[in-house]
Amino acid sequence: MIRRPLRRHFPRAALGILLFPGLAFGFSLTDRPAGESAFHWTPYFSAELYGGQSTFSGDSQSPVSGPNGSLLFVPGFRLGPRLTILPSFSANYRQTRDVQELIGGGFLTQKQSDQSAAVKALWALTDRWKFKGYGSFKQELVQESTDEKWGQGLFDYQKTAAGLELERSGMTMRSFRAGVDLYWVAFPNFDSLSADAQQFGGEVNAGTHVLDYRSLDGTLSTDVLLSPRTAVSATLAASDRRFGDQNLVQVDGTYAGTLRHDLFLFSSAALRRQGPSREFRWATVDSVAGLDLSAAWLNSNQNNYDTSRTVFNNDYYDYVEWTAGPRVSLRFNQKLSVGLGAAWSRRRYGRRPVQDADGTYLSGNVTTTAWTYRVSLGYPLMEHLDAVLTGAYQDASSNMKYESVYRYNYSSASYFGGLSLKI
Amino acid sequence: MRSLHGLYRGIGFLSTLLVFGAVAGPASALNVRRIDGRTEIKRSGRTEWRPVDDSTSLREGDSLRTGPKGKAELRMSEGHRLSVREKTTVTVVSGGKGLQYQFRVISGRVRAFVRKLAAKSRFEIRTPLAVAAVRGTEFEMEVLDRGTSRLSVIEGVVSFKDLDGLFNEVSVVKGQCVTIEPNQAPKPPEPVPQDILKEKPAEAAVSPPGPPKEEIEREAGLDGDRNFRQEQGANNLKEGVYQEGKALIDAYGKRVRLEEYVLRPTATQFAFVAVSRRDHRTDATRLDIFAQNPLPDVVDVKGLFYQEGNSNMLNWAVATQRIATNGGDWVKEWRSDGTPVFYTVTSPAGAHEFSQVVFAHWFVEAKAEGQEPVLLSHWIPTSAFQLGNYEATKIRDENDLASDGAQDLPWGYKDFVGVGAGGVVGDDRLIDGFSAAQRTQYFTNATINTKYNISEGFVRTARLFLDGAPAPFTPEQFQAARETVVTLNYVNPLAATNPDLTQTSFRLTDDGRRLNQFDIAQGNLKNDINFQSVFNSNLFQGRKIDLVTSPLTFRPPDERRQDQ
Repeated sequence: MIRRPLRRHFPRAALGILLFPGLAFGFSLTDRPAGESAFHWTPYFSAELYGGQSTFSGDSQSPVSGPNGSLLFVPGFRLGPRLTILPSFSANYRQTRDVQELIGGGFLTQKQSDQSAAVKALWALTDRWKFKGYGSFKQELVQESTDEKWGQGLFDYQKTAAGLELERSGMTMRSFRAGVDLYWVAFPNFDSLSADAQQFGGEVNAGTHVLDYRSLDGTLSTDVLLSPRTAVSATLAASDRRFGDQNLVQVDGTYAGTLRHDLFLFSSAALRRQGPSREFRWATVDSVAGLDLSAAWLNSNQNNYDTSRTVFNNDYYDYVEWTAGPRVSLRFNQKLSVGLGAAWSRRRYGRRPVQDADGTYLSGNVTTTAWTYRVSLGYPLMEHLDAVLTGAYQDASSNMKYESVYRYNYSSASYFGGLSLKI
Repeated sequence: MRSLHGLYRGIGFLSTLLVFGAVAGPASALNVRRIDGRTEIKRSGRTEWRPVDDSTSLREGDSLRTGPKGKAELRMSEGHRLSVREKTTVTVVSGGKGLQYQFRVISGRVRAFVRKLAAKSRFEIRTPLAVAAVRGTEFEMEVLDRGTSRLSVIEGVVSFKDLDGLFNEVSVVKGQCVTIEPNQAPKPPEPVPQDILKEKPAEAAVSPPGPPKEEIEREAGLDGDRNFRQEQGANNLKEGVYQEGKALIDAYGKRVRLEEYVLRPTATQFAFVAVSRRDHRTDATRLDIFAQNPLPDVVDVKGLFYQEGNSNMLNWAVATQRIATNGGDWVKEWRSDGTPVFYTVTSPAGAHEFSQVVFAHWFVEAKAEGQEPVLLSHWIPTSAFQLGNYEATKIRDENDLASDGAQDLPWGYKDFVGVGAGGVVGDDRLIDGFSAAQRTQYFTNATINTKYNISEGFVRTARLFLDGAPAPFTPEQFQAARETVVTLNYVNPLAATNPDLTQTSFRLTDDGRRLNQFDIAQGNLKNDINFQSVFNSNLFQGRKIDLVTSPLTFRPPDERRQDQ
């Protein structure tokens, strides 16, 4: 069976993603004083190129090394006194993954690239109020196995998004943003096998494009200056995700005609405090300390049926997750920057039963915990160009002991070194 | 585990911990940006001057100086900017604390761009002789010889007075230039010199005419955070596929996809369906279990084949059918006339009582795409087995392997003989008279069942290979071998076409390693994830059926019982 080439998904509604920038440009023509030049632009460019190595405990392919890189180009246009247009183009390539990406599958041999294009318009309503709109398209290509070619990766996906945001700037509350986003996620190479099987499976009715979904997000964010040296950023977001072709599995293992529907809530807060500059004989040291907190909650109407053991698991995907972590950044003589960070993360599934090493279901639900430690070093080599070295270690543990298909208990580490350019 | 919301973004993370001048917060309250030439900073209380870079921030008491052709800009978090021209020295008196900004220009020239100030906020430029206070404007202050201070207002209104307060404060409006000399009252306003007016506005003079890069960088950062949040949903889905074992990688680094489902065609029927895709091919298998009585929603599959104790089985499998296909060719095994048989096994540990379903018939046939199916085997358990002499008839694989290297499958059926007087395995009774239509009625057509009952199967042997070499093996070889392949051969010596079927089976761990026989004998089967069966037949003309399934689902029910 020949795998289909990557399909391009452009939802019809996404054709309107350029509407706001277009309208804004039209208004700008009338808003501009006579004789003023059409527009001015500022190019912004950033690039990272680095190499590194990752290890994953117990994985036969570990360690894995390779180059990673990223590019971002934003030619910013000012179309009059109130309107700014920010087209952006970005590309990333990764051959070595960070510890947080070494998910329990543990497959380290992976090449990943993504390309995205977006256009964003910023309309200054007043000195304090700003209206923003954007449209974007992103394509991520993944090679996870030796027989996957670019564009044929099982987990290649495309995201088409559009959104609006209203921002208020101030003195103490430096920024308050309220936004709404609508986006479509499509996995063009991931179809249900049952739908594709020629002799069996067609009667299963699980759906075909089972991973594709549309999400409507609402987000509130703020950055508040608590004192001249202390600030806090907070975000509250809700996602309504509807799957267009993933049917619900029922208690007897068969599929109903009802579609999957997820609700996801997320909140986070980041506290930053700048310490006093300390003069030592050997260096002047500046410091910033921070604390990051977040909580997430997923509620899905989808269930799970373990065909191997003929066990039905209701609300299998529901979970609550918390993260917390301090960080501190130091800079010596305005040159050498050192970052240290730790993060604790715990996810508790509401109704996913624990299994022992043999797969036997036990009482209690799955809980996973991860500790992540990071260190980064940065040093400016010349104007716009920094050398960066970073390392990370993660230790994940869980009461889930059935790890035949997915690792819940492992440790992983990664380190990278490279250059960071910002112009 | 991948955190849903990583505290550090995975992409572009190199500098995520190096937050100076990069995070929304107080770290960038008064930042310095060097524009051109030499620019140096002297920290409060220190004597040495050091070069600045783009990430330098100033605090109270710090001083900044520019050399010839030097140019720098101070940026305040409220959006104010102070452009420092060449050969200028500025000291920060108040760097934003309480929203108060106060700079002292020791020498040289600065231009201030001040956004509209909020209540209680203040912005002042002091010179050795004078002070200028504003509430939202753009102006230029120049310190000349002996501290003489010249103020040029480009936009708005600026209050201007001598530092000692000897003379009245004056308000300087847009387009006016006022000079204060030592010990003198402010001079009458003059027009702003043309050279100052011709200069670009302060904001534009130090920034590109387009949007400032800080704004672009900030928006790019906000976009990145939003995209990261959005894409975690996609990553969660991928994680879920892995957790459920639907996406695997085999021993050759190739992608294997596996999906397993359950069907309930009738009240008494339960079916597993597994579909696997690898090497751009799709294979599928289906196992149907036909129960004596209606099945509940949650089915205890093993309970349909086996039950501990001496009580009667209330429901059991009367027939099973398994078919494996590559979409064109297929292999079918089915068993019929299953009935529970009660056994008592006596050992020094005591009596072990249980019931196990025994099937009266076991059929195997193969069919090539576009051809008629060919019956390969029909086995019937011995009367001894059916009568309950369990220990006498069952096969223990490990014991049998040690003797002849052959593994007789399935477990529990060793000595199959033909029905009727003198029947032996592979006897000369012919199998004929079955059309394709009739073969679809195996479980309902009494005539066909009768026909099969009087026919016999062909030779079925199982052989074990370790690392490619056939048995027999030494115990050391047995344990050391990392690759174990069990082949089942069905050969009909009587048919003209001499059809055969070889089933090669091996188990893979989650990282693609093939389990050896020692692992299997030790019960490590419970932890493998792939049960791979490859069917080859001379009927298939070079094609094969290559199935990958989970360890439990499609093993014979009696093996399932062992592991469960």
